[in-house]
Amino acid sequence: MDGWTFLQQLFNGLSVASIYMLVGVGITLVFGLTGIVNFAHGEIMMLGAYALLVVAPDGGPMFIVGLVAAVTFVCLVSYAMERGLFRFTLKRPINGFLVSLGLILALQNGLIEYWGTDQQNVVAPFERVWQMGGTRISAERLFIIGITAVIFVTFSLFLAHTRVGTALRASAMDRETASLMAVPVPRLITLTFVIGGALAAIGGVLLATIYPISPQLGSTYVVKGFAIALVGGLGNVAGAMIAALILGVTEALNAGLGYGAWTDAISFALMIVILLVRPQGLLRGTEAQY
Amino acid sequence: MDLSATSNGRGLIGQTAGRTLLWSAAAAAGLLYPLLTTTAKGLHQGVLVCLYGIVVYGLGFLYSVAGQLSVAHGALWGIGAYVTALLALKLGVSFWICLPIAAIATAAFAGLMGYPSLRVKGHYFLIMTFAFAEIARTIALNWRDVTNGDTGLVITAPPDRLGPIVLNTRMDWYYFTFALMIIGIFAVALLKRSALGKRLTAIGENDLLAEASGVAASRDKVIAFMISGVYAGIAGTCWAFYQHYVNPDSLGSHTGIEFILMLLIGGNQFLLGPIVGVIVAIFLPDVFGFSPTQNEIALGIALVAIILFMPQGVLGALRLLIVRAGIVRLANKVGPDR
Repeated sequence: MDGWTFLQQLFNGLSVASIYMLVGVGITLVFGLTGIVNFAHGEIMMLGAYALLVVAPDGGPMFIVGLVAAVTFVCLVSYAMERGLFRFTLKRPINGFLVSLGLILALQNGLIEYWGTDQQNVVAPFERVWQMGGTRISAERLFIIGITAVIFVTFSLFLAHTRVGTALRASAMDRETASLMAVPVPRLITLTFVIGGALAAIGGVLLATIYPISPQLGSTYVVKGFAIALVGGLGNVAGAMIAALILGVTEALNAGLGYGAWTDAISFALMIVILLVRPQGLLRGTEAQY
Repeated sequence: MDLSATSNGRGLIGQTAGRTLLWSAAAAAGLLYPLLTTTAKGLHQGVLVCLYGIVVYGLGFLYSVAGQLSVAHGALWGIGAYVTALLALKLGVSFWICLPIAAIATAAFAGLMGYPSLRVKGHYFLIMTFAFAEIARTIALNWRDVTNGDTGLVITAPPDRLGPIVLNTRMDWYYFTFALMIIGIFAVALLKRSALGKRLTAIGENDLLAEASGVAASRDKVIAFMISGVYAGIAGTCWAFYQHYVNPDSLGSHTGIEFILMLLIGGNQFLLGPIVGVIVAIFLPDVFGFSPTQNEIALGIALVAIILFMPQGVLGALRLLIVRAGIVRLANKVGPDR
């Protein structure tokens, strides 16, 4: 791998890491607050991607409409899921996990029933490619990195400096004490599901601009999202962001070395290593026991 | 305490006449089923019920005793099937040798996966099992030299004869897998009453307390996971030979989710629960005329509904109905199971 290829893979890796980040942060937020392992998060992401396919399959300025429509739609679905299903499982998070398994079957096969298992393509909003030496910088990947950076800078500021953000962090640390301090925890849980859904929907939309989408893709991404959440420390947003960068770039460099088919195994290997060496994750998660 | 008294170790199968009757009826129905069904498809579904039944009883052991769920059982069953197919195709190993080897192989995989993740909290293990299932599918798809990619592997030869046991027709397979399942059910019941089973129950109730009382919780959980993996491996081996092919679809998280669903539909606190769940899941599409995709949607919705509305499963709801109607008077009050 020469220098240019390295740069190319680093650039591709960053764009993929952005999508992982969007999925993984939602997972870690929901887990941190509720203890629910929500495997249906990948299907939520695919709902976003397919919403874009319905509204704006041809790219161009319509893409903005598609993005807004996808995020709105998925936010509504997440809201309904939390209010209608997950709210009743808060006492026993294992039931939340089981509900999410049911949702995987229902949502994924719902998509298959309508679109089949074939891959679908969405035209990217930008088609330009800049050549820098031996590295090709495509506008849509640059857009992915840029929009993700903006989202997470905003989100970090929101978490750190607003009243709601502080309340969210407090509830993730200790739900009962937070509610004693007059934090409206149930409403925050709903909010967290909606935020997680919005991030996943953006992830799905961005994914659809660089790769063909298929209904089964959700499982792949949810595994990576959980790998990220676990490696970063379950419930730790900053940890998840760092882990997403590590995973995305490692995978891309690995693909650059010619082992592209095996990239999916990397997240699994990473999880095993973390569990053996540092069970609490890179940064400490919200459960302080480990 | 409750009708499914095996969980508290008071009886292997029956204390009351009612329960003996129930079990005899179930066993008789199982034995007579091939004579009652007229179509090849019906018999095929019977074999599937037994094969899935074996896996789900293994999974039920893990969940209802040790309180641990796993999405990896689809992958473990697939590993059993692939190990068998490779042994049979590449080395010409007999079915009867494949059976124990595949069982050992799945136990080994389960141990390798369980060891790092079961040392820490329960949800780490869940996440690992899901990832394990998806990775197993990816490997089966991509390691073409060995697994033949998404085409899968085809086994044409039937198993050799072993003494009086010949496995050629669907009828043979039905009785063979039925017998295996019965052995599996008895093994689960015995395991529950063993020292290991009691330690696992303690872990399932409260793992910290169990550890404080000197139970090596993580070791016992790994062992429980390996045992339930053996069930999946044995069923996978039979499935590979019965179905004549294995492909990556059978690995992955979907199969694992379906096993969990079968376990919960029936009600995992009941010894008859898994088989009831399997029967519902297998015959549901026929009853409603669903396509496979529609069936999966229906099963997904059913799982959500069961968790939210009848956490004790179909049998739990039925028992409640019978007790309320006063048909059966229980010696003790029906308490909430865990």
